[in-house]
Amino acid sequence: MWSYDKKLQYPIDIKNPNPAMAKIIMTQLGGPDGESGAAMRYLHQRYACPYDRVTGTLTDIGTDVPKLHKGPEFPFIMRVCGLGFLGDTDVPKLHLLLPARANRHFAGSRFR
Amino acid sequence: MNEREVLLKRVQVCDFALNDTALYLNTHPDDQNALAFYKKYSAMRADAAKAFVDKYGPLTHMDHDGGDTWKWVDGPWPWQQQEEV
Repeated sequence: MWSYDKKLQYPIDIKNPNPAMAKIIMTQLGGPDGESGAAMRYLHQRYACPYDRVTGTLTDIGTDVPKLHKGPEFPFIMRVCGLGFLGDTDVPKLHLLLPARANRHFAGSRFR
Repeated sequence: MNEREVLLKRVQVCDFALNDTALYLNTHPDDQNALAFYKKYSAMRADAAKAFVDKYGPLTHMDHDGGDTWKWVDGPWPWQQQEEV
């Protein structure tokens, strides 16, 4: 069972809101290859796992990610973005919105 | 039901009552009857959880007993029970 603690897992203090970056982060959270999907995979893999220690670890890491996703960080990202989640079709064009430094950072990644 | 199932059922019953009452209290935060109900089941839940954890191991990793082994990863897991609980 999943439960919620009314606190951040890690302190957050965004000094320079960046809507373009926020959209990338949202895709990383909920997109087709995002953290939410990864969390569900961990939680399903544990049912077939023959080792208790691994079952426990899959439970723990599959639990941490939804906590991050459903925690205050996510609505905060939504607010920074100010647009809502427009879906992954926007991702290929994101480099047009990002500053040059960010484009170098993502060069060679799947955010092209 | 064996003893483990009985003790776990108490925790489950209390959690269900607390969960539903919490939803009600979200929109009725000053309902004294609901607050008293929540308080009563909250205490019952604490007792039930302690009785279960002392005998059958942690419900969350925060229930670590301070002993020399980490029991959180020990089976059986909830979906490995033979009987419906």
